[in-house]
This record gives sequence, C-alpha cells and structure tokens, in this order.
Amino acid sequence: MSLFFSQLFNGLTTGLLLALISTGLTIIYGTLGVINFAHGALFVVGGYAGYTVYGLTDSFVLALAGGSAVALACGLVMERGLMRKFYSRPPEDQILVTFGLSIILIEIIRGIYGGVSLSVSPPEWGMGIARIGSLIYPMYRLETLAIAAVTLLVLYFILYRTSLGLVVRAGIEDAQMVDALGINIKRAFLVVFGLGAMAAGFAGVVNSPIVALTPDMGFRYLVESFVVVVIGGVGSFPGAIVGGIIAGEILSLTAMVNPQYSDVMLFVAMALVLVFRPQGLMGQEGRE
Amino acid sequence: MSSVHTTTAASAASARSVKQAGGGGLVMRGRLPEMWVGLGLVLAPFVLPAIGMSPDLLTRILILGLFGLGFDLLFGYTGLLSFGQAAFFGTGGFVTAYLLTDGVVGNMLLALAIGTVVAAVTGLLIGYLTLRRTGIYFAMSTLAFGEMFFFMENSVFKEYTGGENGIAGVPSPEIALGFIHIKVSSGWPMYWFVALVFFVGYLIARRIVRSPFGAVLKAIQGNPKRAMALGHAIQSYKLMVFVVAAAYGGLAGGLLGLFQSYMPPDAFSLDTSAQLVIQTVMGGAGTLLGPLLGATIWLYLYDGLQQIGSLGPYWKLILGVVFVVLVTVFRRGVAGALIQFWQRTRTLPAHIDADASSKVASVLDIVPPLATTRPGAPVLEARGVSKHYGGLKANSDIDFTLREGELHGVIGPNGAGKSTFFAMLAGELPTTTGKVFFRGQEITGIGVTSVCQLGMSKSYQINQLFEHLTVRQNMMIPVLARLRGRYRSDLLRSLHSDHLDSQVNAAIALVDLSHHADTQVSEMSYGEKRRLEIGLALATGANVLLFDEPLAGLGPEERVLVVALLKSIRQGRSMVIVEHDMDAMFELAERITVLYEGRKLTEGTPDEIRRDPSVQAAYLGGMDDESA
Amino acid sequence: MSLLEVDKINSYYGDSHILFDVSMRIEEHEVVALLGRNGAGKSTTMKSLMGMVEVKSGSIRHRGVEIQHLPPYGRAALGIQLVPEERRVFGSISVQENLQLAAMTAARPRSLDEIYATFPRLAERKRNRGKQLSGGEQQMLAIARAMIRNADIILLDEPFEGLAPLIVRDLMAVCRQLADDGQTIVIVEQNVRAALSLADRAYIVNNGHVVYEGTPKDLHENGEIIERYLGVKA
Repeated sequence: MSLFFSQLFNGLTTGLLLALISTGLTIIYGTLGVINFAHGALFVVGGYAGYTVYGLTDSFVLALAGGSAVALACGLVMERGLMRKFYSRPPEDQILVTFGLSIILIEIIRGIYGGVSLSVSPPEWGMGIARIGSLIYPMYRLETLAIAAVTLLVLYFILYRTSLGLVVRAGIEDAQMVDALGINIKRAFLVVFGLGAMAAGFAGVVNSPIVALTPDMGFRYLVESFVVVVIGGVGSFPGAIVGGIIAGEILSLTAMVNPQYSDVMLFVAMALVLVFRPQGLMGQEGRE
Repeated sequence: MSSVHTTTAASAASARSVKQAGGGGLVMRGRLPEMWVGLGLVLAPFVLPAIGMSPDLLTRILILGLFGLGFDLLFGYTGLLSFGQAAFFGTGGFVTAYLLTDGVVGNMLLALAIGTVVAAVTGLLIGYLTLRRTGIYFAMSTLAFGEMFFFMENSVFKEYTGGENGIAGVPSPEIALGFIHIKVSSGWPMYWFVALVFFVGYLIARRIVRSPFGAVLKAIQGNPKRAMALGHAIQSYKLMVFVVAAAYGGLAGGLLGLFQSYMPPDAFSLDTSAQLVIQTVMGGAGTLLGPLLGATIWLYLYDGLQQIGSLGPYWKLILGVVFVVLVTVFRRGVAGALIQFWQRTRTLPAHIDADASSKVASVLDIVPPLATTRPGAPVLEARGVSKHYGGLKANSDIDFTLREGELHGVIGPNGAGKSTFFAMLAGELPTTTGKVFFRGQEITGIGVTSVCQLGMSKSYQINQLFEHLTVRQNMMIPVLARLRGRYRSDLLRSLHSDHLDSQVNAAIALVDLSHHADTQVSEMSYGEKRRLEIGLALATGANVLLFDEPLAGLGPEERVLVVALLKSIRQGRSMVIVEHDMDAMFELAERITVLYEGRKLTEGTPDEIRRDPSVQAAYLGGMDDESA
Repeated sequence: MSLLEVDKINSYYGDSHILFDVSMRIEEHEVVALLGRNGAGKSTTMKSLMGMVEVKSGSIRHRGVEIQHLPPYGRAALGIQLVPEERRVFGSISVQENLQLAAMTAARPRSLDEIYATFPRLAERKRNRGKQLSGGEQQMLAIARAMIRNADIILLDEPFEGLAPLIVRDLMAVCRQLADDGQTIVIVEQNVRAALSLADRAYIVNNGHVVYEGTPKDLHENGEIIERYLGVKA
C-alpha cells in the first residue's frame, strides 16, 4: 500500500514537472501559434548550464538561476534571430526550423560536455529522506514537488494577476485587437517566448538531481510534453497542469505494474483523447 | 453570346498549335525521369566507387531512398508532415526478420511481402487516429505514436523483437520464384537486388503521382477545404496515401534487415523518423528523388566528415546548420533549387502538361437532374430555416425557393444574415431549425462534398483556388470529382483521357482563360483569378450554382465581363447570387429575395423590389423607428 | 491642417483591390459619417486608417505627419482608436480587465469610475467575462474601450448593427454626448437616418470609390443620391 502512495506521490512530482515544461509550450503555441520543437532542447540547455554553475559555485540556487538565464538567452536569440521570419510561413516550416534548431543546440551541448551521462547531486537541503506518516520519501523529490508547485503558482500569478499576463491572455484570443489597443504585440510575444524558454530551462535544472543529464534526454521530454499538451488542450494553462498530473500519474502508477509499459500507456491515453475529445480536456474547440 | 464563342474557339486553336509544335518531344519528356533513374542505377556501380562510395553505402542510400519515396508522397505531395514513419519502417523490418529467422516463412519474397502488408495495416490504424487533426497536431501525434512503437518494441513485443538486442541472424536473401533460384550475397549482388526493388518502387510512385489520385493529393496540399467543396472525400485520400507511405516504409525496413543480416531496434527510433524528414527536406520534397539525394548527402557527409578527424564528432551539428539554412532560405531543398534553375534557363514555360489532350468538348457536362423536371419546378428549397448561436438569432424562419432555370438574387443590408443563410443553403452549415431540400432530397448540413456530388456547387467571395497549380490543373480537380465520385483508389491509372481533357478544356474556354491554361494561378491577375473561381464551380458540372459576391474586388470593366459571363452560362443551370452591386443585381436577377435582420423581408421581381417602400426603409434605417 | 487627411489611398485584401484612390479629410471636433451599401468599402476605409489593412499607395496624414507605414499600435499611440464592426471584445477576460487592457498604454486615460458612470450596465457586469455579455453590452464595452483611452479620433464601425432599438437609442445618446463634448468621430453606419442625425459631414462610398461629399442638409435636399447609392435604385 505504501508503494502505491509513494508512486502516487512520484506521479505528482513528475506530473508537476511535466506541467512546468508543458506550460511554456502550450502558452507559446496559444499566443504565437508557433509550435516549438526546440522546447526540449531548452530543457537540456538549462540542465547542463545549471550543472556548470553548480560545479563552479556549489550553490544549487545559483545553478537554478544560471540554468534559467542561459535557457532564456537561447530562447530570446532564437525568437529574434529566426522565429520572427517564420510567423507567416506554414506551420510545417515552423516545425522543421525549430526541429533543426533543437539538433544544433543538442549537438553543441554534446560537443561541450560529451555524450556520457552526468549525475548531479542534490543540494544539501535536499539530502536524505523525509517521513510523512508511515511513508518514507527522498527529501529532494519532496522539494521538487514543492519547487514545481511554487513555480507554477508564480506563473499563474504572472498570467492572471499582472498586466503582462492580461496581455498574454487577451493575445491568445485576438492578437490583432491587442495591437489595435496600443500594445506592441511583437514585444509581448518575445517576452512570452522568453518566459516559456526560462520555464523549460528551470525545469531542466530542477530535474537534474533526479534524472542524470544526457544530451538526448531533450527529445524524450519534448515528446512527453506534447502528450501533455494534447491531453490538456492547446493554449490552456490549467490544461497543462491537469494534463501534466494525469501524465505523471500514468507513468508512475503503471511503472508499479511493469516499468516497460509505462510509456506505452501514456501514448494510449493520448490516443484515447484524440479519438474521443480531439481538442483536449480543456482546450478550445476548433483550435488547430 | 457569339463573341464569347469566337474568342474561345480562337484561343483553343492557338493552344492546340503550341502542343503540336512541341508534341512528340514533350511526351517523351514525361518519361524522362524514369529513364534517367534507371540509367543512373545501372551506371552507379561503375562510376561512384571512384569517389569513394562502397556498394554498402549505395545500398544503404537506396533503402533510405525507398523509405523516402513513400514519405515524399505523404509530405511532398499531400503536405502531411509525419514525424513517426519509423513505426512502419520498424514494423515491416521486424516482421520480415522474425518470419525468416524463426523459419515461419521460408520464402524471402513472401516474408518481405507480409512485412510490407503488416506495415500498411499498421499505417491504416495510426493514420485513422492521427488524421483526425491537421497541421501541428498531426505532426505531434505522429511523433508520439512513433515513439510508442519504439517503447513497445522493448516491452509488449519483446519476445518477437529481441528487445534491446534486435533480431540477429537474418538469413541472406534468396529469390525463390519456382523456376528461378538466386542467392543474393553481400556486396554488389545486394546492391543490384535493392536497386531493382527501388526502381520498381520508383516506377509505382511515379504512376501514383501522375494518376487522378495523385492530382487530388496535390489539390489537398494546396487548398484542402476547396478540394472538399469540389466533391472529393479528402479524408479517404489522406488515409490511403498514409497507408501507401507506411507500406513503402515497411518494405524498406524489411530490406534493411536482409542487407545487414540484422534488424536493429533503432529502426523504430525518433532518430530514424527525424532522419527521414531531414533528408527529404534537404534533398527536396515533392520530387520523389529528394529523399534519395538527401540520403546521399547525409551518408556521404557522415563518411566524409569522419575522415577529417577533428570534425568527426560534429557531423550532426554541421548537418543541423545546413538543414536550418536550407529550410530558411531554400524552401524547396537541393533538388527543388536545381529544378528551378533548370526551368529558368529553358525557354519553354515550366508547366506544360505534356500528356494533356488538346481536344475541347463542345459542351461542358452538366450533371443531369435525377428526375425529369419541368421549367419552374422547385430545385432548391429552404423551409423555415433558422440559425441560432446561443442567444444570437442569425437567421429566423426563412422560406426560399429556387426554380428550375431561374436566376435568383439575395440582397439585404449589413447584418441581414446573408452569409449564414447562404452557408445553410449550400449544405455547409446545419440549421438550428428548418430544412433545406435539393430537388426533393433533404440536404440540411450534409456537407459540401456530398452536396457537390449531388449537383450543386458554390463560388466563393474570397478566391479559393489552388495557387501553386496551373489553370488546367485547377480545372481538373472538379472534373475528376464528377467523373470519379467522391473517392476512387485509382493510384495506377493514367490521369489524362480524351474525355477528361476535353471537359477541362471546355470549362477553361467557358471562362475565357484558354490562353492561360498552363499559367500558374499565383501569377495571374485578380480578375483572371475571379473568373477561374467561377470556372471551378462550373466545372463540377453543377446544375445549381451559388455565387457569393462574384463581383467582389473587381474594377468597373471587369464587372461588365463577369456579368456577361454569368448571363452566358444560364443554359441548363439554375443560379442564386448574393451581391451588393445593385446595378449588376438588377440586370441579372429574375427574382430577388430581400433579407433584413435575419428574416425574409420580401420577395419579388426586380421592379417590385425597387418600388417596395419597406425595402427602401430597411436599407436606409427607417425600420428602427418601429417598436421592437 | 486637418486632423486626419487621406490622400488617394488604394487598399487591398491580399490581391483584391478594394479602395480606389480614396480621399477624405477629418477636421478636429467633427463627426463625419461614411455611408454606402455593404461591400462598398466603408469598413476597409476604417481599417486602413487603423493600419489593419494594407494601403499600397497614397497617404494618410495625422496633423500633417504621414502615418500609413505605422502598425496599429503606433496609430493607437497617436490617439486614433477603432471600434471594429465585429466588436472584438475579449471573451475570456472580464469587463474590467478589458477596460484595464485598453487603458494600459493610453497617455491620459479616463478613470474607470467615469466609464462606469456613462455605462452603468457595464458596472453591473464588471466581473463578467466578455463572452457572457449580450450583443448590446459588448458594443457598449467596445465603445467604452475607446473612451477610456481618451482617443483623439474614435472610428466607429457599424456600432448599431444588430441591436434592439432601445439600446440603439441609448448608444446614440452616448455618441451625441461625446460629440457635444468635442470628440472627433468617424462613423460608418448603414442606418442612414441615425448616422445623419449625428454627423456634421458625410462621404458616400460605392464600389470602392468616394462618390459624394456633403452635409446632411445637402443629402436631404438631394434625396435621389441617397436612393442611388444607399438604397435600392428606384
């Protein structure tokens, strides 16, 4: 029974982390209409940059900041340098160019750090185990859960309680009208892209003590966040959270039964959503 | 009337003379690619080793090229970007390998065939699930399903696939066809075997591209909504091409196992799917040979860069940069750029369809009505039709009748609900209450494809054309739907026939575009495009036509031409026109219905409408003074 | 110098040529009506002024400065504000948030209280989301968004379309008050009587050309012009 609960907890942790990564993806798609295949690469970039900063400063907090900053920088450069040109091109072109960019980013990482997996030890405040009633749980995982939850709350706050968030929410619906009301929508898009990139990079650092860093892990998280977006619905922040938690639990609980089937079950869930509710659980009807 | 005929006859004649001049040469040109490819395959073993290409490298390139033939049909010709083709490559490969290694099937050719078929069936399943969405969603879900297969290889199907180890010990191929018994050893014999399979695959792909099925694929890529409205069941076409692509993938996968004597689990990986996409884009999508060219660049570059020690590990980075540059700058890939260069240096226009017959039918076919009707009988009827969106009443309780042979106008001030009403009349939009009947058959919301097949078609306010195709290629789409129905799997049939071409030429002549028949639509003027827009609706053979603001965006002289065109096509057809140009409307219409605030205000002859004070008041806003 | 001067603009939707050499001027504190049947090009003219439709030749000057190359947000910054035909109220955010968004980049925005005083109905519904409002309330919100920005010129595109007469009457009163307070307004309205009762001057657009310019008095005296271009020809 305790195995069940600890897996449930694991699922929640994984789920909220996935939600964090997917939020960036879904908001970017909702506002800009661009699907960023390089999102997973930004996760990896953040993770590795965090690793370097951690190695230099021994401070996990600085590592979090460093990883996020580098991912943010990459995101901004990508958007300004290349993505802008693709807003009016067909979606297939956007997919192809962001895919190409993800290869470039990942190969640069591989070139700098090599292909062998790098393990990151949890910070001092994350060592050891925690006791919750009769449950024994690794401390760091508990903290990851807290960090992810807090970050999602911060994102929620930004999205629903700030002017920027207001602009983004209105922009998802009708970007041209936001423009007509005097707001430079292109600059807002840049900020959105940057925030999404930062969230991915941040998640990459948070995740690194749990899963060892490899250059190719980016694609795995990319695929999983796609599944989350499909399940939750495009352009929906609550959808990303709900989708993330569902995905996390599916992965975790099926791993209890047979670890090799857990990924497959995730895709089965996605297939079910595609058949019975193609717009996702909380997505808007007809949004392509 | 007679002047229209003279010009069309003259332009048809001039089109014919161009054909005759180039005639024989152009027909041969249609077969040229097959000859070149065949020649290339035969010469390669004698020429390419000189630049360091081994038989193994060439075989590997051909296998990827075969994989790409199917993918190019899917992406290059139909516009469906799938990131999960590895699922079929792996499925075909592992089924073939398993059958041969476990001794279930002894005959290699049979095992290959079974692997291909299983891959195709898998394609049917995955296609059904993923084609429910388009664009980004489609790409994402194919990627996810591709990954699912990768995980299943190492879990659900581990027993059969060997999990992480794959299947080793695949026996060398033996071609056993009763009277022939050939052992294919590694090296050059393997090359010849794979080259033969590739060549056959290429011939089939070329047939598909130049079949009626292929023409519809290109229409789907250009403007899927219009393709649907012109009578094609596009979902069926998409699913079929997806299955074909899966089959090619499965065959290629089977060959891989035979070639390596080993079937690797990474055949299912995202890397494999991605590699296919990158190679196709680099080589040039929509050329069939793009993937082959891309595979050559990829593998040769990989080999080459390995020789230069320091750059070796960075080959993928270099490739990534090349890829991004190509996508950004040269959208059409290396082959595409070459073709563009080739076309620009030649004097012939690029798009002459060599196989098209130049015959012109004297009369454009019109779908005959199912039952014999007399003039004046109702042909299109709306009974008590309403459309509510939540609290908003776009249309309320409208009755409308179009009679046989009539030209009926619909007018009304802004907010009258004309577009909503028109969409319901065309069977596009379901009603909230009320029904629409076409020749006695209920058509309420049955959808544009079915309506078109029944004999009614709409011409759009904003041009809905296939911009990257020529006028002739555009005009073929509706005619194909009329001659073949909503779907036909005629992948191997020849596109052109006298009957098809004479009908297409007649439709082109009818809208006075014969001198532009082989011009790409995107290069035409707005007025010419508008005529084509009307022509597409005519070419469906519809006996009832709906025109949504046919004069929209036209200058004064062009308006006169289009009004004359509309008058000239009335024979055998009944028409409804929505227009704002009142002069034109009163010149054309026999009967006019006036809509106001979602309801039918009145109906009558043009004179009656002109004199009706309530109509004047509606337009000038007097009605607002009356109490709600 | 006119507040807004439009000189021979040619506007396009894609390659469809909609406006042909359209010229007009808007003076400060004026109410100018744009009349014509639908499809004539009135909305396209408004969108061209706001930068939402491509103007391929000709010029638009605001206080003498050319603005036809400015994006919509640049024109909004100059005090030009469009209230579009489809209203385009943001359905997923509340009335208050719609207003806050509109006020964000305004130089001297009006206060929320002022807006709510003019539109008590909106005050009642301030927490409701845009999509929960009725047609009339959405139109009020759309106009309120322009008002809160304290725009120099308000471009009203078919503000009374599809609304019940009582609501039209209330909105007319708001417009009349704005006009009396000196607000410059350009109004497109198919309801000719309503438009002419507000306007100081009117232009008539037909098939993308400006075919008439005059005062409401001129039009009343030349009734056949109204019938020819606005009604159904007698």
